Amino acid sequence: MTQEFTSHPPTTMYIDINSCFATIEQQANPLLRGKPVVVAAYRTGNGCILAASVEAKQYGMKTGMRVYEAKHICSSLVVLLPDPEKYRYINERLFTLLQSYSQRVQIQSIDEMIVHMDETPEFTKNILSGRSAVESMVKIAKEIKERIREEIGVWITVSIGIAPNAFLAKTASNLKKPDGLETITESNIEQVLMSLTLTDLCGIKKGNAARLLAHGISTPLAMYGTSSDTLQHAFGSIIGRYWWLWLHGWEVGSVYAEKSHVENKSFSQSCSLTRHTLPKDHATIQVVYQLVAKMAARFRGDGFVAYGVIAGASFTDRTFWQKHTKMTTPFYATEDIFFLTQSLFQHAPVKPIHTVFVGVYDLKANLYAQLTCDEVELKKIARTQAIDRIYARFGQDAITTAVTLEASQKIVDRIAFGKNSL
Amino acid sequence: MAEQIKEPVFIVTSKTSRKMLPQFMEWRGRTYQFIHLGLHHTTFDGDILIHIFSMVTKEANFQISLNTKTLLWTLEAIETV
Repeated sequence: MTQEFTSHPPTTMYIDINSCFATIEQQANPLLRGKPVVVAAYRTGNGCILAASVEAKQYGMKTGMRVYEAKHICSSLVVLLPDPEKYRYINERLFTLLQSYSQRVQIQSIDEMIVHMDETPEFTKNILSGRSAVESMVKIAKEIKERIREEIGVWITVSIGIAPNAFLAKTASNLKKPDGLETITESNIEQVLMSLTLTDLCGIKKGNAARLLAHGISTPLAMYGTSSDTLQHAFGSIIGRYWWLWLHGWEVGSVYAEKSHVENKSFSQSCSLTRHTLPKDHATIQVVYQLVAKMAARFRGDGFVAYGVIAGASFTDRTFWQKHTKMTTPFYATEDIFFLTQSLFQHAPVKPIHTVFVGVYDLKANLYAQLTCDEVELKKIARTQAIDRIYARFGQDAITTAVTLEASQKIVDRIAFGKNSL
Repeated sequence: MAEQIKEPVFIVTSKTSRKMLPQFMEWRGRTYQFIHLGLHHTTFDGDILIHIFSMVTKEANFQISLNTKTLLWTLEAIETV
């Protein structure tokens, strides 16, 4: 078993756009720069804050807070609604910029990316000119920051963390915000961990902290000094072993693994209902149809068919329900998925819904690959392809079904948290 | 606060080193001079590429769009603080 810090050079770079949505809004509207700005799901008091600008954070505002709480702190607060197109565009621009340094760029979320710089021409050039790995990475990171200011926006700042693996690089990127540039290597790991609490480590919240405390591990430094076996015992699974490896700079596990979209295991859509209707209410059915139509267009767009469908809801009494079903033949048409989700919702408890969600799983990337002579099936394929062509040419709102006509709630575009969801 | 407008406008642009930038806007009989570009991004309306410019004057931030199929400019929104 490896007992040492990795000998791999610190060539992983974690880039995090500071206060992403709020900063991009301040970039777009210079009149908002230097002012406390938040981007919230809704402008009303109960609207959840998705991002707070650096200035708003200085007042103590943070993601997850309600608008009324933030306005109570600062009455001159500017509350904006999200503009996902803008954020996706900046995400694409940043991705393109980073790809000019390395072809191994991972999108972790709308505002976070990982760049693997080992064996890239830029890194090698710096090493050959006599710089150490850390010096080379810091030089490249400074250049990236400068290029972001020049090519994407002067107001957009990023915190960059450099380390031998993605976990430590993320930890480094969180050390200084905004506009940070920090490195974690074997020489300073203990010093860095000394300044952190257990819950400062990404992936450790109350539950895991309690598990570690029960084994006498109360700080990240103590965790670092503990054996792999003890951590495995504390976590009660192989995850403990992973934690030991992550803290010692090794790249293991699936959390930060490089993935392609082909490995998507499922697609889902969810929505909070503005009116808390019952599962069988027409208003709920209208929302479910819109979610299904959006999700079906997404997974067909990626060339998938699905075998499993899942439907679920969280209720106003904070309870949760979900049900899934698996078919022997694949499905792809919006009407089929809608029919299946409706049959699942027949089993839902009759209670006011807070959030409704639908999903498909067990995907196969062979849309329209199955040959058929069945006239009904052929018509369905032609109809679905025609609908997708209309969506592609005129947009998703171009056609709708009678079910969603006069729907009281229209599904708005939102950015989900996590990868593969942009 | 943003006010949605969605009205056609007349735009005078400048073009330097492959970059086109709106300079003046005529809207409801008045001419506005832009002093700064906040952000330029693109989006699609179906298969039509739309360029969106967030342009600043002394008084407000104007969100204007260029439809690359019709080549028509639209004032989408005005944002004031």
